[in-house]
Amino acid sequence: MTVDVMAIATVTATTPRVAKTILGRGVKILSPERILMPYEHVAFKIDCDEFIIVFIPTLKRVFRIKKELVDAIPDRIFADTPPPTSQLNNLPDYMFCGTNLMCTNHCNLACIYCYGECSPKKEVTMTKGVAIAAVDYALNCTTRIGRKLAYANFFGGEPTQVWDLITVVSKHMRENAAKLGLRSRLTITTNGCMDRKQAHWLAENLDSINISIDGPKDIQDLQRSMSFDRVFATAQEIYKIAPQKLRFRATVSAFSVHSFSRIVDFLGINFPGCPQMYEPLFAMGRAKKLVQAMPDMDVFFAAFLAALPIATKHNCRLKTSVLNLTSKSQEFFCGVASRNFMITPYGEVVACNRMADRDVNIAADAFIYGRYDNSQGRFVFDDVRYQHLKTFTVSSIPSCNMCFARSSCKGDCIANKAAIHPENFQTEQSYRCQAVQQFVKNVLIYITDHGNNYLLA
Amino acid sequence: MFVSELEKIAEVSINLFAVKNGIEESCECPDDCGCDGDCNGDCDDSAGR
Repeated sequence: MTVDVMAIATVTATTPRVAKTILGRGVKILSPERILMPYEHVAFKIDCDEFIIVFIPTLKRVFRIKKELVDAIPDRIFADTPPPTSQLNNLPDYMFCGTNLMCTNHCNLACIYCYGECSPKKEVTMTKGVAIAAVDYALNCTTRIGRKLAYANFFGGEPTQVWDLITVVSKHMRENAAKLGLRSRLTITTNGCMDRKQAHWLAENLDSINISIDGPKDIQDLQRSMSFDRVFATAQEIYKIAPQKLRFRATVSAFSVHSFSRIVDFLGINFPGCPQMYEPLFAMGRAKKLVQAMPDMDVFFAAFLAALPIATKHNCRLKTSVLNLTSKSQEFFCGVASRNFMITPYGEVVACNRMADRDVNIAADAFIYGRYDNSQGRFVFDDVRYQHLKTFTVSSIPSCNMCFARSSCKGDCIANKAAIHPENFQTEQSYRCQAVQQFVKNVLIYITDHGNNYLLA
Repeated sequence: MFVSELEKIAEVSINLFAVKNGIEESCECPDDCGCDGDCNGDCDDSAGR
């Protein structure tokens, strides 16, 4: 006779000997280890021809099992740890510990695929008053909910084109965070086209510098306005001063995808240890009519995996957005689902930087949920829009329900889906769903072969 | 089945957290990109440009 684990849990919380006395002979006493393991986790069994991968996303565990044992593995596994809880699930509405300041839509480049269609011709710049108000809002929220770190990211357009705004806001953030007993984190996403003094200042004063660079000169110049020499010089300057602050973001086109390993090697040789993030070119914004410039996703993901050993050689970690095997959240691809507090150059509040301009993206309205009201001197929010943002999670996509890859891709980027399906995009599956599934499977196989050391997964 | 039993019959067993323990343990990432700390706040543009 076997007694249900939970039923005798209280009794056996004493000792097995005492429990046996209470329950009588013939009762099988389960080990204390088993009794203290009440949490159930979904186990996905993935057929890999010669073996089975068992993937338990909520435990962050991956196993390789002999094929003949597959029937012995149930769909639910018990463990002593509960499913992870993301901090994203527990924040009150409108409580943002940081802000992403889209300082201007002006850019000194005009890259072939820019989703915001930013260029030297655009000239709208955020006022200092709005930027300071956003930072103060974040500092206030951070204090109110008892967090210790507030942050701001400078974004664009090209944020270094409004240099005065960056230096003023940085000083304000550092000083006021310190007054409140908070730490502050300042970061920037830049195209790297700046002078040496500016690069030096960023390396000394910010905490992280994310440079967009698509690869060696032939690729960079083709895709990003002949900017290689300037960007490379900036990256070298920053690396010399603060290598730990530098990271790279590359967009991969149908043209450059065949040079993926060469790009990883190029950045690794010149900037060893710096993380590299890769995303495929997507046909929106300026690239809306460049569908042929989008790389084949199977080719993109195969190239990513093939480049991993090269990244390992240079001590660089690789990242791509659908690879999130270790994030605690099981639901959110990004902060779009009501956690992003991004400010446009016009002073509007938006949940996604790719959906910040109504003139560029027809679906942008669904993502813009507030604005800075000059007459009231504060941010005002549209609660209907804000609450709607909360549905932008993988749980809203019926076809993702029992997919083993959902804990990694989280349903993929909703802005891309909104560009394809301006209505009901939150329930659509990703345009690259099948390729992502195969990729996640291949990554799991790779990890059981090589470990996870150099994947920003 | 308990995870410890699964470990015993597996040819390979990987804990995805183990290699990133430093980050997980000290994470205070305030950001909302879904990374839960991997980026340590530097997660403005997870799918960006």
